[in-house]
This record gives sequence, C-alpha cells and structure tokens, in this order.
Amino acid sequence: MKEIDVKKVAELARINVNQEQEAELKLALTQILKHFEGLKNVNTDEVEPLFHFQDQMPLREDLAEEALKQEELLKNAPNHVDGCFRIPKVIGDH
Amino acid sequence: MNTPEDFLSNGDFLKIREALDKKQISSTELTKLSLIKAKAQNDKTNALIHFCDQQALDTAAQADKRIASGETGALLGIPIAVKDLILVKDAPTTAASKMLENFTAPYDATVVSRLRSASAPIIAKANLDEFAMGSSNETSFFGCVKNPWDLSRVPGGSSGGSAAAVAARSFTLSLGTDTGGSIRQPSSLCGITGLKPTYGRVSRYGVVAFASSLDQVGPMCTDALSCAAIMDVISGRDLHDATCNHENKADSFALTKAYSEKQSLKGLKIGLAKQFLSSKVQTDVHRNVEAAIAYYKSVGAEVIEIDLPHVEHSLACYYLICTSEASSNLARYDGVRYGYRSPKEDSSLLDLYKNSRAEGFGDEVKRRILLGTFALSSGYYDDYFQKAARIRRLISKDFESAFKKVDVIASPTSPFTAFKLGEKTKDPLSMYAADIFTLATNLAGLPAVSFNVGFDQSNLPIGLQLQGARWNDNLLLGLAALYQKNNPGKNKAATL
Repeated sequence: MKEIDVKKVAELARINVNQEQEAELKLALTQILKHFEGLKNVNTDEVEPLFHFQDQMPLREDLAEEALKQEELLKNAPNHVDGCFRIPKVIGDH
Repeated sequence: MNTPEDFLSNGDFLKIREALDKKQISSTELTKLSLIKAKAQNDKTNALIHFCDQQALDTAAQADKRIASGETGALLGIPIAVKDLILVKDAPTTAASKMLENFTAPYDATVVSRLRSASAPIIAKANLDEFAMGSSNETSFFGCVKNPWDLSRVPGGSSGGSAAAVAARSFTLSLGTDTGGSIRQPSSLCGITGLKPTYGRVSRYGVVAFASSLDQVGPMCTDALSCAAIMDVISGRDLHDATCNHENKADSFALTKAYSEKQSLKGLKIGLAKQFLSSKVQTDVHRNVEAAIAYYKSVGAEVIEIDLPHVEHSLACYYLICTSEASSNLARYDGVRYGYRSPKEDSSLLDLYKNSRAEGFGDEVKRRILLGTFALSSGYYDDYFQKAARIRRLISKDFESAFKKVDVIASPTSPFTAFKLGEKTKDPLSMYAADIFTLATNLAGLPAVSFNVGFDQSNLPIGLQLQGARWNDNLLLGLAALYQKNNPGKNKAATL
C-alpha cells in the first residue's frame, strides 16, 4: 500500500495541521485506506467509470435573469471594503 | 381526537389534512403549537438549530386564508422543518459548522420556494452532522442530537435533527438530505418514515453541496403518505439544477394512497440479497425485518434470493467517491467570500485560507477533505478515485440485473438500533459501517424508503429498507403505506 503524506495532502487541501494532528490523521487515514485495499482485487478491465447518471446535460435557453444584488452577497463576506472582498497583500506571494 | 395536540401527537397525515380542510383546527393553531412543542423538546434533544417563528406564522395565516377560500393542497398549512443544509432566505444556514455559523441565506433553495408556494409553514432548521458528514449527529458544531426514544443514544445521522423532532412529534413533516443513508438511517433509528428519492427527482439548488453525484433531498415524516405529499410538492425539473430534469407528475400521493388500500400483492417480487443476508445484524433487527417481509408474503408477494456480487465493495467505493467530491465542493470555503475567517493576522492569502479552514472545519470534515484530496491527487487518482468510479459502475449494473428479476429489494436499514452517544466516535470505520445497507443505493442513484417495523428489547425502533429501480419511488412509498395501514402500533411517537 502506498503511504499517505499527510503534510503534503494538507498543503494541497489548504488546511493547517500541527504535528500532533498530522500523526493522528496519518494513523486514521492509513487505517481507512488499508480497509479499502480490497478494491484492488476487483477486475475493472473494460469497465467505464461511473461519475454521474446523465449522458447529456439538458440545456436551457440563454436568457438574462435577475441575479442577487452585490450588497446582498457582500452581507455574508467576513471582510469587505468598497464593494470588494478584502484579503492580505498578494503581490510577491508564491 | 379533536385538539391540535391530538393531531400532532398522532401524526397521521390523512387525519391532519382532513382536520385542516374541515376547519376543525387552523394552520395557525397547529403552527403555534408546533413551535411551542419544538422549543420545549429541544431542551432535551437539541434537534433544532434555529426557529423561524415569524416566517412560519405568516405562512400559516396565509394558509388559513387559502383554506377559508376553499383552496386545497397536500401540504397547505402543515408545519415542516428543513435540515440546516438547505437554504431558507433570511434565515441562518449553518450546515452545523463553525464555518457557516454566521451565514444568512440570501435566497431560497428550490425545495423551499416550492414549500412556500404550497403554503407549508417552515418552522425550524434542523440539526445535522457537520456538512452532513456522519452517521450519529455527533459531529455538529452545535452539539449532538439526542434520540427521543432514549436520550443517552444517538438519533443517527446525518439528518438526525429532522428525525428526532419528528419522532417526538414537534411536527410531522421534515426534509432531510441523503448522500449515503442520511435520511434512511436516522429515520430507522428514530422510528419514522424517510424516502431517499431517485437521483435527479429533487433539485439540489440551494442545498449546501457535499458529494454532488450522490446528494439528494427527501422527506422524513411520521408516515409514508406524508412523504408522498411532500414529493408531489418538491419534485420535478428545475432549471437551476441540470441533474434534476425529470417531470413531476404530482401523482405520488394518489398512487401511494391507492396502493395502501390494496388487498393483494400477487405478482410483486421482493428480492433478498444474499450479501445482505450474510451480514452481521443485531438479532432483534433481523427478527423484526423478517416479520415485516413475512407480512408482505402473507398478502401475496413472492420472495426471491438475489445476487449483488459487487455490493460488498460499497463502503470503500462510497467513501472514496464522496470524500473526493467533498474535497472539491468544500474548496469554496476559503475565508474570503463568505463563511468563517480566521482572526489571525495573516501574512499571506495562503495563510488566510489555511488558518480559516483549519479553524472553521471540524475533525471529521477535515479527515474527509484530506482523504478526498489524497484520492484525487496526482499519482493516486487512477488507483483510488477512478478505480472506485469503475466499481461504482459494477455495483450499478448489479442492481440493474437484479431489478429485471424483482420489483424491490428488502434489507434492514441499519444493522443495529440506536447506539450510545460516544460509542463510535473514536473509530471512524465502525461509524462508517452503520451505513452498510444504505450506501449502495446512492452509488446506483436508486430510490429507497425506510420505515419502522418493530422495536428491540430496549424499545428502540427498527427500520426496514426497500430499494427500488430508478424512478420507482412511488412503489416504495406504496408498500410502506400498505404496511402502515395494516400494522398499527408501529408508527408510535417517542415520549419525552
């Protein structure tokens, strides 16, 4: 079984984990993945993956619709100014 | 039986409908009583997160006017609660997460706007597992829900609040959502009736997304006729959800009622999957489920053993798919546009994301996001996510073959009755196993109903699950209604 690199996965998921959490998560996730190992033994040659139940997405007419007002949407924003979301400086970020 | 309390406690849909239509009771009386009862019971069960008093009473007054002018409607004036994963305009929608603790819905979910058109007063937002991730309602940021049959036990999850409040008859109707059993398992553990509709029957617009190819909204009520009445209102095509493109014939109630009056089930074939028969099931559960199947046999149904060879892989397949979809869906919670934002002075945008998500999500949600991120990550996608999706196809085909031989597939809803609070929180895998009979339904997009068929030695409810072929929801409700009509005493209220 491939080992799970919790630190890397947490970085990808944009979630901070401290060392203690990292160890706990590694244990829990390894146990879960181990339990799922049985899937490997199922023959899926020539089986198409099933991602959803529709062969075709229905299309609607391309009509203009009333949308929510900016001020309505900004009511739930944790920090905003002049109609914009406020975030830390990004220039120079990697 | 003539007071609003009598009707509420009894929970019989037909009697409530008749009493409202004959103006024996008013919607305002019923709604007020529901609010009072729900608040008093909430001190014990913690089933509800938010009450919508004013909205509900306004709708009730409107319903009374409509009834007075001679209008009729299946849900007209009957109070309902919705799981707090479903957006109700101007009310909080928290998904039971710190992440959305202060979120107020700016619009209605499609199912909610349809309830409004039907003048069904929405009285409360029901507690759930955080982001609907759990089988015991213990992961809620607002505290666990307690089972009204025994307050030291879980109500099941994730729609545990809806189930507990209906079981205690705070109200008789509610909406839940079901991604892997979240309507059916709590319905079973609380002794009520819940339908997970065919995928695509009910719109997901305005429902906080967990795993989009599995999520479905459905009714959780005192009886099957209530569920059918709700389906007539909430089902059907919605331009806001491209996966919901099925015509609503609004015939669920009429067909369910007609089915409940059948004298014979001659010609109906019930399948028992040998994989389910060999599973570890609590003795009382096994006995009561067998007795319910024997009832159907006694009125003419034929019972046939069937084979679902890939269903044993449901648990692994389900968790890889649902966590993958969740990791993608929950990427939107970034501390910027809405939801929780870490108060830490962040030096960078990346730190803002990472801190907000670390502080805003609970442990089980983080565990699932990480598992899903792993399953989708470069180098692992083929072995995990894609492999699971291929096995999902095999599971779906197993059901397709089975439904060429039988009309419905019967099993317990849950392998055990309500377990003790805290009993499984330390072991995610044993918690996941609570949904062993329900997960495959979602993977194959099928409808399934759960309803009470008995009680164990500790007087805890036991549910029977009937799964059907795609779009065969009404047959399941009909079979549940038939059982309920002819087996009185199973649809009892929990006394607090």
